[in-house]
Amino acid sequence: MTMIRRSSSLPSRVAGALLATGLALLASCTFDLNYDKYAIVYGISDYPPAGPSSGDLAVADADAQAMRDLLAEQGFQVIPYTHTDAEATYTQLAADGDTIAAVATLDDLFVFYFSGHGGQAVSGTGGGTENTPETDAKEEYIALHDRDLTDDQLADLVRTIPCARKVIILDACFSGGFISNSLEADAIPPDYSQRPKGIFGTLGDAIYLYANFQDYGSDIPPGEALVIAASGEQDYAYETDDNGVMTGFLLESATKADYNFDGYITVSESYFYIYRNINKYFNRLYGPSGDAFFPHVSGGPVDYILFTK
Amino acid sequence: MCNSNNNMAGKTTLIVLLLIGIVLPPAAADDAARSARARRPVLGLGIQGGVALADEPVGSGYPSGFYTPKAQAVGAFDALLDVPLFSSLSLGIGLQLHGATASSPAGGWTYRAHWGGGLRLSAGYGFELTESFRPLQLRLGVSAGGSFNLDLITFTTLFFYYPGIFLEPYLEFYNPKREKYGIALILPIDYYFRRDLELYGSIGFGVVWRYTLQ
Repeated sequence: MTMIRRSSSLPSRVAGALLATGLALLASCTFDLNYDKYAIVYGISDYPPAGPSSGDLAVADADAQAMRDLLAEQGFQVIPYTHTDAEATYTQLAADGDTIAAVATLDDLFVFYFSGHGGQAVSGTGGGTENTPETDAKEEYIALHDRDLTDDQLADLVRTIPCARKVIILDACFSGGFISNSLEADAIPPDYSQRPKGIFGTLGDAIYLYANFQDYGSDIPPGEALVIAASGEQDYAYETDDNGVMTGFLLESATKADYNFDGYITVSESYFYIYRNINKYFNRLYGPSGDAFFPHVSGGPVDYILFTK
Repeated sequence: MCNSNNNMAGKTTLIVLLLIGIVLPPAAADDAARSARARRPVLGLGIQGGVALADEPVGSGYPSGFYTPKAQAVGAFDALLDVPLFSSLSLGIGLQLHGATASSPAGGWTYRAHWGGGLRLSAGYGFELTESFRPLQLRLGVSAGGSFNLDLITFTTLFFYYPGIFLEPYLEFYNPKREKYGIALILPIDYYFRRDLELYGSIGFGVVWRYTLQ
């Protein structure tokens, strides 16, 4: 398969491996999930030559179409809010956000999906705090067709949607930088080629975060939205001939990630399916040549049902 | 918005010290009465199950009142060492492996499942009941202390830390002819100082196999 990095800049980083496992748990009741579901889906393969990001992608528009189909099948109101390539502009995104903000309620579920280029500003206002006490002082962004949209700007946009449950899925380089976990220490570093801190390093981070917990933060905190990011804050993400690597497994997770057999696939279950399979099928193959990457997810005490089996 | 859990680690320590302070005087007064068995260290292995109650996420963006209290099933394995200090007082140190299932998905959301390990420090007070159920002798007691936990959010690579306090009444049965071995029924009640939840506590039932060192 052909691989294209989902980034506009910066050198690639490499390899390493750590697999964390979960606990599959039982619950077999069914529940009437009586709420509306809205989704905005954007995918950009064809970037303007003089645009914010250089180089076209192969299948980011196809990713968006596949996600649109899946979400429509899942009962989301998504078709009017799906835009690819030249349609996927900031102006359009703001308009789509306004439309949904006008009709959605607190009880509803909102999903924003983006497939395309992502990047890091050379310097920023300190947007990157992904799961570590340190900050790299860089702002991450996704590249829309007409301009870049930073993590804080996306947080502002999502904040206008009145739903309590919001999910952001980003298949783009450096997208882990959109996540703001102020309590949880990630065992996987933002640069997957770095050595993990190990259990004592992670314990130290977790105690530090507990002692210095602030219930607000830059980027996108879990209370604003749960984020599934294709890559770490300092990782590239990749695509194959068919899909973005993460999006391919995300699509599969809708039917294969019901780990606790309750008929519902939560954000965490979907994420678990994605990272296990990226490690199993992509990193094992391409890790040795330097293209390994690892998806990341938001923390927080609550999880949302993303798909119904 | 302020977080009500500020300085919880300090509060945990204070509460543990207070509990020890409450338990200590009656234990000291009872020194002469205790049996030879009670003067020896005890190793214990236990298993327990129960239910936790979680309520109201804390943090920027969570709408107030949307997330209602929900129950989570919990389970744990414990290994502990109780060292007699004086009288009927003992100090305990234990390691625990524990887990909590996700809550019900009603409303389209759950409190997340998590599992991990904890260090448990406790002070205990126990005494032999004069009435025995022959051939068994009964010992009644209570342990109280603090726990320090590191958990992994299930299905993620995210770890979080939280301390807690616990109260653990127990009733131990042992045969005076084979007094090295005993079985204790416990009723653990835990309260945790989670930064990300307004309320998180659990109550359960467990069994501990106790071995008295010679």
